[in-house]
Amino acid sequence: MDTLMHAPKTAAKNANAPLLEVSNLSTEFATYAGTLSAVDGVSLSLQPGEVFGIVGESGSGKSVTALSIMGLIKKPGRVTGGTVRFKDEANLLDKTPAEMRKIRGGQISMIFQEPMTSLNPVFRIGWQIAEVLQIHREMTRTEAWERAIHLLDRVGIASPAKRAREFPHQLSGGMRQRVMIAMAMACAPSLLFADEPTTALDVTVQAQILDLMVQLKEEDGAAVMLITHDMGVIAEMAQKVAVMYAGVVMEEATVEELFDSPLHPYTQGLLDSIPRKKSRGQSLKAIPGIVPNLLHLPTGCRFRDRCAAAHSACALADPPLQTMPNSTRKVRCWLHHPEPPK
Amino acid sequence: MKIWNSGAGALLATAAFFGAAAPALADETIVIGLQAEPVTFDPTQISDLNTSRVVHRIYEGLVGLKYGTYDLEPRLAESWEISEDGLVYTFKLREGVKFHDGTDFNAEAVKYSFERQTDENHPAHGSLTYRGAPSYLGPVDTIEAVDDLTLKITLKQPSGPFLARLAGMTVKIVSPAALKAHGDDVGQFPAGTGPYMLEEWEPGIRATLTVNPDYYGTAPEIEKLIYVPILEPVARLSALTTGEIDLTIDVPFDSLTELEENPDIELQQGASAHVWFVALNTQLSDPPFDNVLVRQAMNYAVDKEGIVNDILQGTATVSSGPLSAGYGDLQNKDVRKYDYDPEKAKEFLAEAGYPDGFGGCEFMVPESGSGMQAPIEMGTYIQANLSAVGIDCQIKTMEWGAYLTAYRESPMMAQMSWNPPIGDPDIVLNNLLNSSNFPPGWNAGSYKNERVDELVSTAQRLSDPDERRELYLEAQALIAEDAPWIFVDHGNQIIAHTTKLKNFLVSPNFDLVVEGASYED
Amino acid sequence: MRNYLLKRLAQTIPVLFGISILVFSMLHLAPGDPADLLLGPDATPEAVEDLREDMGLNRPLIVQYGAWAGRIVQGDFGRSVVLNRAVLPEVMKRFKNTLILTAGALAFAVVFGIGIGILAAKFHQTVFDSAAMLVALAGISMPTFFTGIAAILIFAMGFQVLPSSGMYPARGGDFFDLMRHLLMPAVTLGAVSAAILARITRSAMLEVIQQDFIRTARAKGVSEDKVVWIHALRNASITIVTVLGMQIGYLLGGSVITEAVFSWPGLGQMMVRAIQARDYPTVQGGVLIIAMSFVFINLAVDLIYAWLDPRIRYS
Ligand SMILES: Nc1ncnc2c1ncn2[C@@H]1O[C@H](COP(=O)(O)OP(=O)(O)OP(=O)(O)O)[C@@H](O)[C@H]1O
Ligand code: SF4
Ligand SMILES: [Mg+2]
Repeated sequence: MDTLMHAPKTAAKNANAPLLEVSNLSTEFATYAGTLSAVDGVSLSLQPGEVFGIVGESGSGKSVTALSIMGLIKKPGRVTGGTVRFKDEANLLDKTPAEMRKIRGGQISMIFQEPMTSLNPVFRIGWQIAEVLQIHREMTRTEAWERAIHLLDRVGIASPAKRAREFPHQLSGGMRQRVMIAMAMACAPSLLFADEPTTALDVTVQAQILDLMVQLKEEDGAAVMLITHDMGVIAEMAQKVAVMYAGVVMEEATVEELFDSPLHPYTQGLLDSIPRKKSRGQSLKAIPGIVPNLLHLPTGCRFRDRCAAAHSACALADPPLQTMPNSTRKVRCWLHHPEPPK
Repeated sequence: MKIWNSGAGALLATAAFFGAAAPALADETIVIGLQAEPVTFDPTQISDLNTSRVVHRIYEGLVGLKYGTYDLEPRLAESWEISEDGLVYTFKLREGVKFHDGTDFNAEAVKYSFERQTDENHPAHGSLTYRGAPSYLGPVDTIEAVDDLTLKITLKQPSGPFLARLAGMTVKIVSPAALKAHGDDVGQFPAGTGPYMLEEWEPGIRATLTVNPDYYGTAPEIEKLIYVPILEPVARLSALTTGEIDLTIDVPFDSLTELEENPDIELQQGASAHVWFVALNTQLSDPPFDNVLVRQAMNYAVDKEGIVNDILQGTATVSSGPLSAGYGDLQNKDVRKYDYDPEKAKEFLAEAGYPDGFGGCEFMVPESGSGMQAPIEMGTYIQANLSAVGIDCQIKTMEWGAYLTAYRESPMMAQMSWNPPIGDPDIVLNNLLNSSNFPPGWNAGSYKNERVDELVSTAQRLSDPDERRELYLEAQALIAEDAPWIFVDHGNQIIAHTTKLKNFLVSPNFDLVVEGASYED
Repeated sequence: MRNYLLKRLAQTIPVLFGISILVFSMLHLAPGDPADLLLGPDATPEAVEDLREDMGLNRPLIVQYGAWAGRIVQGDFGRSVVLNRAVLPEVMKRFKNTLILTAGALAFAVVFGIGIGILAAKFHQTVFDSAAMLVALAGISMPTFFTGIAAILIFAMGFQVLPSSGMYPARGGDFFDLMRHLLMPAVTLGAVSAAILARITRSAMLEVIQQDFIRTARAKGVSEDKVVWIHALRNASITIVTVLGMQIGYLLGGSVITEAVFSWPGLGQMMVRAIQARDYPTVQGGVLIIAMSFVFINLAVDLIYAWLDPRIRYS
C-alpha cells in the first residue's frame, strides 16, 4: 500500500528521480525465543544531496534499516522482503555479495557510532583509509597512502603524514571519527549512512564533526542518511525526517513540518523533551513506558500501551502509514486516518 | 631442493616420501637395532650392555671367549704360562698385529694400556672417568714387557678369576698412540685390534663399523655393521618386520608368537649369565627370614614356572641357584630344587612355627631397571603367591636410581637381577653371597654361611680350573639348601633377525657375535 | 626498546640462578648415587669411593654447588659421567635435534590448528565446524605415548609408508630423509597443540568477528576472505600467539615422550637417561639450556605480541 502512495517510479535519469528508494524493507532475526521483525515493511526515499534523518528510541530498527540497505545483515538476521533501488542499479537486495562489495565503501559508505571500536586497533589509520582506495579506486599502495594523507588533511587532522602512521588508540575520539569520515568519504560516495556519528563524542567535538560532515557533503554532493537520537541534530542538519518505532516508520515529514506540527503522538512525545528547536545535544527523553518487546507487540497499534491518545480503534488494527492530504508527510496513527476501524 | 620446482617433481618426491620403507640391502651389511645408543668407545668406561655389544667388535683382550660361549681361548695372547705358585703369568703375544691406527701391537702397548688404569701417575690415567680396574687388575703387582712379544704379569697373590677377567671389557687393549693423540676423548676415536673398526659415529643416530682389512684372524664376511638405537620395543619390531633393520634384541614378549610364524624372521633365544632373584634379609627374625625353613617355604610358594610362562612368555628358564646354564659345567645342576608346591610351603611354615604364616614384610620392587625384566608384574605375582601361603608382603616401588641405593642399605626383601660381565662364578658367588660383601656391598641379604665363604674365598686363590670347579659346585649346593634368595629365573637373550642371516651367535655375556655370520645367497 | 631488552635479559640472570639451585638440590637430594648406578656389583668398594671422590660427591652440597656454578659462569659445563664427554657440545647437539622436532610439531600445530580454527570460525555452526571441534577434542584427550605407538603400528608396520623411528635411516641422511623421519614424531607431538590451537583460534576468531571494526571493514567493501584472513586474524592472532607461546613450552617438554617413542636423539631422551644414571653435570647443564631457551621463547613471544598489538609498548 505504501508504494502505491508514492509517485509511480518514472524513467531513470529523471531529474526528480530519488537517489535511494526503499520499499517494504523487512528484516528478521532468529533468536532462541523466536523470530523477531526488527524492520517491518519500511519504505523511504532519498533525493540526491539530501540529508534524511531517522530518529527513534533505542531498538526501533534504525541501524538494522541502514545495515539491511548496505547488505550487511549477518546471521541470525535475514532480509525477508522489499526492494532497494539505488541510482540506476537493480534491486540491491538481489545483488551477489561481490556486486554489493563494489558498491559498499565506494558509492555508499557508512560511519558508525563508536569510533573507538569501529577502527581496527592493529592497523595504521593510513592503511585503513588506503584500503578503501585500493579496493574501489584500484590505486597502488603508495598512491593510496598519499591519498589517505590528503584525506586526513581534508578532515582537519594536523600533521596528517605523521598521523597516518599512527594506530587508532593513539588518537582522540574526535580524531578517530574524523578518520572514519575520511574513510567513508574517500571514494566520494553519493550516499552516506551516518549512524549516530556524534553520540559517543564530547559535546564540543560533536559540533565540529557535524560541521565537517556538512562541509564534505556539500563539496562532494553526497546524500546523507543521518541516524540519531538527537532531535537537535536533526533540526539543524536534515531536510526530511522519518520517526521509527518498533521496526516501522511512524511519521515522515520535512523538518519544518515535524518540528512545527508533529502529528504522531510518539513524535510529540519525543519533541516534548526538547525545550526549543535547534538545540543540539539533547537526547530523546524518556517517554513513559518502555520500548515493546518485538516478539510480543501489542495488538493493533504497536505504540498503544504507551500512547496518551490511545482509544478504542487503536486496539482493533495496526494503522497504516497514511499520506496526509495536500502534503507529502505521512503518519501512522488512527487519529489522522480518514477511516479508523470501529 | 630443485625437485620442488616442477609439479611433476613434487609428485615424484611425494611418491618417494611415502614409498615403501627402504629395506636394508642384503649386501654384506647388518643393520642392528639396539635398545639404546652406544655412549663411548673407550672399553674402560663402559657400564652398559648396548655399548659393549658394539665395542666388543673393535677391541680385543689378551684372552678371548670362544664365540658364543664362556670358554676362554687365546686372542691377542697366543699362549700363556702360569707359574707353579699361580703368581706369574707369562703371555706370548701374537705377532704382526696392528691397531686400527696403524701402530704396532706389542708388549709395551699392553703394559701401557693396563698401567693407564693401575698407575695414578700414568700419562693417560686422567682420561678415565671411573676405574673398573681394581676388579680386573687389582691382583696385579707388576707388568713387565720382557720383549716385544712377551709380557710378564706378576700378581700379589694367586687369583682364580684373573684369566677369565682378562677377557673382560675393561682390560681390552687400547692403542697407546690413540691414547696419546686423543687424551680424554679417546672414547670418540677408538683404535683397537678387533675385526671391525669404527667408520662413522653420529651419537644418537648410528655407529657404523667396517671390517678391519688388516685383521690377523679370519676376516668376517659381513663388511659393515650399522648400529642404530631404537628405544621403543614396538618400533624395534616394526623396523625389523619392514626390513629397516636386520637384527634386533628384546622384541615385545607378546609379539613372539607372531614373529615365530613370520618366515622372514628367525627368532633366537640364547642362554645368558643373567640371574633374577629376591634377596631375603637372612639376619632378620621379624619377619623370620633368619629361619631357613621359612626361606625354603617361600621358594616352594613361588610359582617360578608360572612367572616364566605367563609373564616372561617363555623367554627365561626357572632358576635354582645363582648360576645359570650359561656357565656350562660350572653350574651345579644337582642342587636342591624348589618346585612350586604351596602345600609343602605351608608344611614348612608350620614346622618353622608359623602355621598361619606371618605379615609385616616390606618387599622392595624397582619400577624398571637393567635386567629387571618385568619387575612390577613379577613382584605382584610373587606377592600373590606368598599371600596364598599366609605370608603378607607390602610392595614398595622405587625409581631405579633410588632403588640401587636402598638395595644396599640392608632391605628386608628386595628384587635384584644381574648380567655378570664375565664368565667366572667368582663374580656372582663372591660379589653377591660372600659375607665379605655385606652391605653396603652387594650381599644385600647379609647371607653368611662359613663353609660357602671358605669355598668361594679359596676358589679365588686357586688357578686350576678343575679344582675351582669342585669348590663352586659345593658352594652352589649349600646356597640352594640355605635359600638366601627366592631363586626366580635366568632370562634368555631374545634375538630376532632376518632369516637370510646365518651363523649369527648370541653369547652368554650378552654380546651379539657377528664375526662368523653371513648372508645366504 | 633496547632498554627493555636489556632489562629483560638482566632479569633472566636471577631466574637462571634460581633454577640452577633448584635443579642442583633436587638432583643431589634425591636418593641414588651415580657411582652405584655406573659401577654395579662388579665394582670394588674402592672404585666406588674413588669415583665419588673424583666427582666431588663427598664434599658438602654447598661447596659442590659453588664449584659447579663457578665453572658454569666460565662456560664450563663439565663432563658427562655417562657419555664420557664434555657436556655442553653434546647437550647443544641434542638440543638442536629437539628443536628440529619441536619446530616440526609447531609447524604442524600452526598450519593445521590455526588453519582449521579459522575455517571452523568461518563456517561457524556447520558440519565442518562440529566435525573439526570433535576431532580437536579427541586430539586434546589423546596421550602422546598412545598416539605415537598407534602411529608406528599403523604407518610404519601396517602400511609401511614411514620409517618407525630415528632421525635418519641406517644409511644416508639427507634433508629428505630427515623430513620423512620427522613426519610421524612431529605430528604425534604437535597433535595436542594443534587441537588446542584449533579451539583457541576458533573462539578468538568468533569473538573478533563480532567486533565493530569487522563491520567497518565490510562496509568498506573488503572481501570476505580479507575480512577473515587480514582484519580478523590479525586481531585474533594476539590471543593465538599467547597460547602459541605456551604451546612451545609444552612442545619442548612433551618432546621427552615423543623422543623416547620414536628414538629421536634429542635433549629429552638424553636427559631421561642422564636422570636415570644420576649424571649430574648433564642434567644440570641440560636444564640450564632448556631454562634459557624458555626465557628466550617468552621474550620472543612478548616481542611478537608487541608487534601484533600496537597498543602494547615495552619500555
Ligand atoms: N544481531 C542481532 N540479533 C538479534 N536481534 C537483533 C540483532 N541486531 C538487532 N537486533 C534487534 O533489532 C532491533 C533493532 O535494532 P537496531 O540496532 O536497529 O536498533 P536502533 O534503532 O539502531 O537502536 P539504537 O538507537 O540503540 O542503535 C533490536 O530490538 C534488536 O533486538
Ligand atoms: S493509533 Fe492510537 S495508539 Fe497508535 S499512536 Fe495513534 S492514537 Fe496512539
Ligand atoms: Mg543503532
